[in-house]
Amino acid sequence: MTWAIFRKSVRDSWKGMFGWGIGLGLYALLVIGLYPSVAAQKADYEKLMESYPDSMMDMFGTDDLFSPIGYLQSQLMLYIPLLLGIYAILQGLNAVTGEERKQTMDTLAALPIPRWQILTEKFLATLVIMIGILTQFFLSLVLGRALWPELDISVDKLAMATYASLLPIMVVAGVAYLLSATLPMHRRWGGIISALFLIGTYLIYALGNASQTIEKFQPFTPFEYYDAVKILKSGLQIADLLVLIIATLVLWVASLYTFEQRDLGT
Amino acid sequence: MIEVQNLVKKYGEFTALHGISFKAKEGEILGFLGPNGAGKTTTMRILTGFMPPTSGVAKVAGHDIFDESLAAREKIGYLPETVPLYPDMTVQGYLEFMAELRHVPERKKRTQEVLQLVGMEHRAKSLIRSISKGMRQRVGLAQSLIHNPPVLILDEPTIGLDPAQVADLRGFIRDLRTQHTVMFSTHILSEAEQICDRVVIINRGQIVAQGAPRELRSKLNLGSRIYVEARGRADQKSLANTLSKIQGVKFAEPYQNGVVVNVKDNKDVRPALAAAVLENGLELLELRPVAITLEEIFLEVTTALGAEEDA
Repeated sequence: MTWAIFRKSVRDSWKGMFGWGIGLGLYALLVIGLYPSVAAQKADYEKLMESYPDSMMDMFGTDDLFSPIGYLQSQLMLYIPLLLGIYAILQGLNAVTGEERKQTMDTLAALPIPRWQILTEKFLATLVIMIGILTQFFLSLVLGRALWPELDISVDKLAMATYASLLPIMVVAGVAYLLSATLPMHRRWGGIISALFLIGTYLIYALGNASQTIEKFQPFTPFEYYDAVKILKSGLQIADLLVLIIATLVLWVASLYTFEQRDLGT
Repeated sequence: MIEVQNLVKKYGEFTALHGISFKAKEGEILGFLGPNGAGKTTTMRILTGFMPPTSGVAKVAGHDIFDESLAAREKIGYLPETVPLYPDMTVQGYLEFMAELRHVPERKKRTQEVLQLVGMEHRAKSLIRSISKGMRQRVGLAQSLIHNPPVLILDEPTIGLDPAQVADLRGFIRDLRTQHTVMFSTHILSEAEQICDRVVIINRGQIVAQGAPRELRSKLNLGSRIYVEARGRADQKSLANTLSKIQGVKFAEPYQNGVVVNVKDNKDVRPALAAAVLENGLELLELRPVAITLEEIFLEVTTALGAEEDA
């Protein structure tokens, strides 16, 4: 491999990488900056929350919304895979259908390099871009923790929770890559189906905590295997991570297979 | 250098190519002619490994494009119809990127060489989005030449260019003949006639004629034509009527300031034409053969195929 496509894909996305990283970082600082006042009025908030139905509390994935971990989960970590999932979808769709739409795939596919290599370099570029965004996000968490020590969570746990969110994001990216490699030129349909997958599985995950009927479907969502509260309390959940790694690999291999088989540009 | 045998391409129920076969020899410029939707781009995309055929064989520089796809693709330089480039890259950056993907040794040096070859060295640092269409076409050509391939496949390379740019590019393609086999598609027939050693005419996914333009003229037995211009009392219409009665003349019709006479089976009717003009009391000003253009050959073969299919 020359890694030229990988480098180009990363270079093409550096603005997006810093845009998303800085945006999420500033949002994280805002959320952390509000925590001291939330913590100071913890008793009042808890009293207020008692009047809310249990099912609503379950949707936040924790029953302790005002501890540092509960607060971070309910206000921030819960949304990171969802938000970055949107960017992952854009990355996945651009990988093949974007190149087909711009017709640059004509020259790429005529190069003496196998198709799997083109897709693999692009997929790895997406992985690196996501790590880049999460690193900026993580640094802002560390900065926020230093500025507002009330958010008393260890740096290593913050790192674990941040970087573990990469896996559900890559599952979403895998779905987008698979659709991009499979659906001929139909970027819109690829986008719609990927977005439905992201929002649908997220809703199943969130509502499943409050409904037994929906709960049965939770194991089929990537978010089920990323529990920031558990990670922040007790470290990485290896079994969960393995499920996400396997799902990502399966989607990646399926993308390679369909991309190899497909008539491009049709 | 390029060998295609019984190539078939189907998209579901629709058959884009119906078992076409043709060859291009080393150092030859092969024109691939046909109206829009005839199957030119599909054929070229198959040859470049962009898409597989449904059946048939295609070889480039002795390598089967499917069984030895990577080896075959190494031998091909490809300029797609739309000249797809990355607008955010510089001209030089793009060419170095393509050189790296093509495993070109000393790619910076080679990039400078091809920039010089296509006359773009002064715009090497320009962003692709800021250069004109003609320049983009040249960058596309430079990209296809970066690895000095023995075979060049150019899909409608002159489309969208202004007349000066078209003339430049045609000259450039002619010069490539010394080192490369060039296959280029066009629907501009005069262009093919000017540049190509041989042409393949494709229509509705079938090859309807192939050969050197001169060969095609005689093979299709389109006869010959003679332009006659005379001065006197008779008008063009009556002169045409008179000339069309001569033995060996298919028909005659007014053209420019005179009459064009279509002759059956390449018979030499010039003496009879001259005599007829003089017998009618006219002064003969001009009598010269008129070449049958590739346009006419093209129309003849594509119309014949259309009529056959409709029947």
